[in-house]
Amino acid sequence: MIGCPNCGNKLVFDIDSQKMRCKYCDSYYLISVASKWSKDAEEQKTEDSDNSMEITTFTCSQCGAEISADSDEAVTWCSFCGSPATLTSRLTRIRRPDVVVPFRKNKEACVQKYKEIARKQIYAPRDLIRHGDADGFRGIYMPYWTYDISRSGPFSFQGEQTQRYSEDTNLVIKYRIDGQLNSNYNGLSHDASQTFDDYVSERIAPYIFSSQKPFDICYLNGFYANAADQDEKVYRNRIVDDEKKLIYADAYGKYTSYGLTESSVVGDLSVLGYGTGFNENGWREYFEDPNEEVDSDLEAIQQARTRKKFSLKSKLAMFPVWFMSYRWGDRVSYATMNGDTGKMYAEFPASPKRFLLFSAITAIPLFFLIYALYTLTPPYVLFLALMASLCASGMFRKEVIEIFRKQFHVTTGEDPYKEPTKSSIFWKLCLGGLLLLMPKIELWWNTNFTLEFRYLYLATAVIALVIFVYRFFNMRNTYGGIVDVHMDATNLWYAITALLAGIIYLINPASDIVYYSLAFALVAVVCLSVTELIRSYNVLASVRPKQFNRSGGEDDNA
Amino acid sequence: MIMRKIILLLLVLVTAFSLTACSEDTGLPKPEQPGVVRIDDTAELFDHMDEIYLSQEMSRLAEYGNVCVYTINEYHNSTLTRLARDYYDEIFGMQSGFLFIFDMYSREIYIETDGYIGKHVTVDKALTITDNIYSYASKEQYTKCVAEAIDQAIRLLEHKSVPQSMRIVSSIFIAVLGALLINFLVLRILNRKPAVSIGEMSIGVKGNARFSNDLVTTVDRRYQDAPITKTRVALIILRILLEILASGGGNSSGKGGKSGGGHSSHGGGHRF
Repeated sequence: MIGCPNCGNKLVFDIDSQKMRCKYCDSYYLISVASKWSKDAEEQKTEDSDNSMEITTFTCSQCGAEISADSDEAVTWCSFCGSPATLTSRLTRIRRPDVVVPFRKNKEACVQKYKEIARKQIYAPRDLIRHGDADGFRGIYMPYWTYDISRSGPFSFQGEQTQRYSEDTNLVIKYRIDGQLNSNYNGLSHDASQTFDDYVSERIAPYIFSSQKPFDICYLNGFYANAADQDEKVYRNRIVDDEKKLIYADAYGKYTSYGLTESSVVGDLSVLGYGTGFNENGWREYFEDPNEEVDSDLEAIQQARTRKKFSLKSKLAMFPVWFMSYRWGDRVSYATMNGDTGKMYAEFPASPKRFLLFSAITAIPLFFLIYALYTLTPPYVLFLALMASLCASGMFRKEVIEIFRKQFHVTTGEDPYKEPTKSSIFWKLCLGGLLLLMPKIELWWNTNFTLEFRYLYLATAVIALVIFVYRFFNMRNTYGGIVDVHMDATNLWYAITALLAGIIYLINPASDIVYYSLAFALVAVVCLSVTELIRSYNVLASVRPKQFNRSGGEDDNA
Repeated sequence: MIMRKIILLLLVLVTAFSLTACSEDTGLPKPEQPGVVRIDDTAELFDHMDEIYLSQEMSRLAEYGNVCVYTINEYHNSTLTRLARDYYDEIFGMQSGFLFIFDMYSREIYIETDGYIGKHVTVDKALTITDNIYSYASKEQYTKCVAEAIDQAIRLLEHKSVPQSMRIVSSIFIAVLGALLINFLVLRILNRKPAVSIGEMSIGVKGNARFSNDLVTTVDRRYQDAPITKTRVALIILRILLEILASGGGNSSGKGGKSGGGHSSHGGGHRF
């Protein structure tokens, strides 16, 4: 503890003034000054020599998470699992961080931002929203590994440009761009705590490099802290991937006129000297590959290729996070805010009751709109139900992929929730427009063609059946490992209803009841699917802290 | 981004509504003279008493235009919609009228209207009427089926309502489905939180990549057929849709030397 020289009470770091403050006599002190006054100054010198320091660690008896605070700090509930558990304290020695980013956003700003976001969450349980209004947020310094990475060596990119030559012809020119790359990035970071979920930490990134300061224990006074328990080597490949993206981003900026696009350079990593391993010291040098073909005319490039160099260095940092946890049975939802930039990530599980309530409310105006605009025949209703089931099945698949990515921390491959492209929006609008005008199109078709329109409905049912069967097997084989989601039943029901729809379109029965019965079954399957979607959404919007079933903890994912 | 999508969706809805509304005929006057009544019972569904009864019922509707009941029981190489249009053109041309068809071969009933009657007994109403009465045809109560159709058409012409159970049930189904999907989409959109983007990442770090001694080589130049552009596809789709809507959902080709390419009819049917 650092005592106030005036009254002897505890000094804490004041976010607004960025100084040490005594709350009792309202005195302010510069960090550099307060640091020297620390009663443990002499001890610190000793600790500095072996690059470690002693802290009081509280361990949650419920989830096993560890958090450190001043020994006299009242720790009444666990920040990670939200339970008002009994916390046991002990003195531990940890590695002293190299740098720290002090809190710049205060608790009021955090609560205000949370309220802004929570206001829009119409499906979230009300008690969760109220939880954030109260004293739910805690300021915690989270351990991060921050990396400095530099590289020099040859590069080779490929670009492609398409120019309109005539009405029906394009001129396609392919370029190759060779040269010498020198890159240097400081401040790429990744959280070093197993307790702090990677999925959450990635969504409040980045921390600004220029905010980093040499570590001083003063910044931690008045806040909680979490100790690093993840080796920095674990994240090296991920950091190299991030560096690759940054290099490409810089390359796109420079070589846009040559049609350099993301797709034209992905897969051409070897030319940048990417390796898969690192030595004990965390860096590796690359030398000329004797098998590499070099253009004899390009002397400058040939010379450059002998100068491949790569280095990666890491530092332990403490980054500020405003943190709130909310417990749901054996799962926990988090609301976190980057204490430096104010970027917030909050998980809001959906309450099924509220979801159904809002669905019912939405259905009323929708009913009047449809009733006013259309007279929908039973075959058309069945067709629309089939389209809706395709849509729900697609959404379900997206959720499953996202859960898979979260649970197994997959950062490559298909990203189901990437920003939709203009092209995809265009085609979705076209499809929506066609569906709305389908009754008109049906009439026009039946007047102008001898083949009845119902055969198109039949074809749609067959296509839907193929898609559902494919999804059933594909999702089962690819994403079968994920927990908490019932994939098989949902996709199987979709496939069965699509098959029945095909049979009905083929038989073409007179009775409306047959069409409505199947449409009703499809509505039921879509309801089932949406229920499963809500469940899977809630899986995404929360994590099961591995400490609940702790047996070692391989990673810190969901 | 969310607002832009909502505006786009609203635009689509408004456009669809306007196009639907525009395609309806308006402002046609009631005919001054009663129309003709005819029963072309080639399938021999009615006996003499039925025909007398039906003629009386049909004459009530004839106040608004021509009325015909046509029954067939043989294969025709077209859809019933096309057959009804052609037959209507043949017997009534562009006059106001009401044609009721029993197709015993494909077991379908169909109502085709035009002119003043068509203004009131639209495609939607024809579908509603046939849905209300198809069960009589299923029970082989053909006379009652026609009489009920005529009665409901008269009710519409007198600005009275007819039962619309199909319309209500169908709308409920689609509203429930739509509401569930829309709400889930809203839930996802409200909670879309992508991982840190490359743009954000570059703000956080210090440093950059420098590319020197660069040499750009053209490795290939070739001429290729221009792929069909999205704009061109959109224009083609738009043109087809406009054609469909301009024809009132019907035949856009000219017929039998009639100016205007045949009558702008309304029709709808149901299997029985």
